[in-house]
Amino acid sequence: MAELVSALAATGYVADRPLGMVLHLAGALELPVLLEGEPGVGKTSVAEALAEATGARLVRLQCYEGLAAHHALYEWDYARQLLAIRVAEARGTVGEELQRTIFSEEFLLRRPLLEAISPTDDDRPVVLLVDELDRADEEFEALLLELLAQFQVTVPELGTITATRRPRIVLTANRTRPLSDALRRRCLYHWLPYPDLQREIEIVEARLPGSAEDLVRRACELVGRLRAGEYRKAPGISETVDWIRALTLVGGVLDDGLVDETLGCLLKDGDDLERFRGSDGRRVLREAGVA
Amino acid sequence: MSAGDLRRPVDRGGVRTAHLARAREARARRTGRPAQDVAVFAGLLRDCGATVPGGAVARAVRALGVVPLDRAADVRDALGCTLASDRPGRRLFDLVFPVFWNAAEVQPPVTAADASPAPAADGTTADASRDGSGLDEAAPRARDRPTPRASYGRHHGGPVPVDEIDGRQVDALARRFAAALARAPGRRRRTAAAGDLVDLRSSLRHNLRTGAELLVLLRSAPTPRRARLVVLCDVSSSMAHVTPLFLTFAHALARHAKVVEIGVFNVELTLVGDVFRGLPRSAALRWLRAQDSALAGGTRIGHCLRRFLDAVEPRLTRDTVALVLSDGWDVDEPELLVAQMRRLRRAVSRVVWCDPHAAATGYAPEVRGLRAALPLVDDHLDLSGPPALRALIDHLERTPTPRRIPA
Repeated sequence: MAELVSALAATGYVADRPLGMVLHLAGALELPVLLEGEPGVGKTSVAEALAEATGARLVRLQCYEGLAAHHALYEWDYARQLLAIRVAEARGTVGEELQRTIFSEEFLLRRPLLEAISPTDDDRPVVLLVDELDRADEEFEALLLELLAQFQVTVPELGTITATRRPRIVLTANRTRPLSDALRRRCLYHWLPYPDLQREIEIVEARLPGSAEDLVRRACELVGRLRAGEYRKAPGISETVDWIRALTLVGGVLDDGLVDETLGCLLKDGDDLERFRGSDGRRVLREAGVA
Repeated sequence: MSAGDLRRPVDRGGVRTAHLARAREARARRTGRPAQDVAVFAGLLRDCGATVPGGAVARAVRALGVVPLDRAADVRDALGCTLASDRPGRRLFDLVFPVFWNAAEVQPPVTAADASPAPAADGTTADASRDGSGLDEAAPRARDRPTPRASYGRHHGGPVPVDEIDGRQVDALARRFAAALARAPGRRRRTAAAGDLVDLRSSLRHNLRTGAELLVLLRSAPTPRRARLVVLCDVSSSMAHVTPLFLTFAHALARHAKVVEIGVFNVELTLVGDVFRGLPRSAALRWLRAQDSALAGGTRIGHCLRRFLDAVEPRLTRDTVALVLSDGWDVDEPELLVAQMRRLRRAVSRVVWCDPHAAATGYAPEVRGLRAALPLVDDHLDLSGPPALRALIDHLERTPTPRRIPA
């Protein structure tokens, strides 16, 4: 497991030990991982870093409302099938053979899920990222169950396609709706929290090498206090990185004027900005030793 | 320190203490064989209300085979990701794990409940003092109405009881409630004998039998619009006397209406829509009791409404009706509640606020929260018992939800 954490760190992803353990177990037990956490804590980056660290190919499926089997799994290439039928008609060879041919893998358009378990032209192992699963409909969850449990998908015309090499599967969700128990019980579950101060400093230093140490520490402290407040959209890690990058660009100091000018990097909601610019911001700045 | 750590619930209703006591009892059943102990531990989690998936024990035992058993943190992480399947389950796991697996006796933590002021001599405590603010509201409330029952959990370490009430009666009323909301006319139309418009297409088809001579004109009427519903149910101490009715009604609505989400709240929000839809009433209420902060305590309506809207706002449509079951006691600033009520009102077509005190003789809302929220409420109605529930449904049947396009 330590090797995996080190390999992730080499890609710029600073994983803590519990996350390293989950990823290690997922590999050893060949189980999917369900990652939940607040937006911006780096759930998607886990899969990207895992793919890079293990030399695997990342196959990503971004979920959205209305996502269906033909977007995620496979689709028949209807245009080519029609063309083949016309050609056969012209040649006078329409028959059972044609019927078998047009429903063969030659006319199958592979979508991400099928591509992950049965890649056509790449021997590398696969990390399948099913991102923001809670955005998809419940029917789509049901579609995933066969893949998550048996690493296989069923195409009615072709039969069952089983993974030649089991991919590592990472599912992420933001809890905008509850996921089914059936899906949860097929996965290892991990809640990805906001990083503590020390780990966030490490993350920033990994992303922005050469940043002023004092600036990074104070900015991360301030962000931590913001997250403890009652903000609608608490800043995630990428917001912290963007903000420190912005502060570095405008002089590399942390004072209340610059905080106000660069606040849009941290808070992305009108109510939150208003709240911060009221009494709450003064309190946070005072506690963080900025004002 | 994460935001989640700061907002971790304290021991409201003594639930945390009860979990720790169960963990100590379960520890006595340990056999020393890892596989059996993992099964006992999984049983403990289930007893405490966590959902431990089927097959999780076997998976956990397999996981123990690939981690160093001499590293407690690794064992904990391995068991955590295999036995817990959601965040509340993981919190519960983190609570009972050290008690079950450690040899040393673990003292129950000192909680805010333990540190709260002693109850009054008569065994009751005004809400304001329980909530730690709102002293200006306590006097008129105490004068007008009997002092609300004190939370058992605050003073004696047990949960507020969720009594059994006539579920069948509430079920029937919930069906009527759903039908009443669906009475508002929708955009689609269907043939109806007393419809307001001529249905030309149906008339032509119908009269084909007479050579397309239009002898009979069929009419059409709008189909009732299926209203979507969000329910916010206050289960704080001041609502203890109506909590059983509210929860039973909310559970029945989850079964019979098109419910988007149900939230129960006191100082924190718990989303229960999925649980209420999926479990029978007794099991759902047992699950709710097992949540750390789900019952009793003070009330932060503005804060909880914000959390609720953050979670469900993308799913709210112009057909959605918001049902708030609360007496309006709120320790948050009224500005927060007003801002969130505006947000709610923008997102839904109708806000119905059910207040157990609304029908009291000479009642005028004096609670800060309710006073602030009322201008943004479409219907402020009494819901103090089943008769009031029937009256509420009568009112909804008489006044269909107007079509409103949210701003």
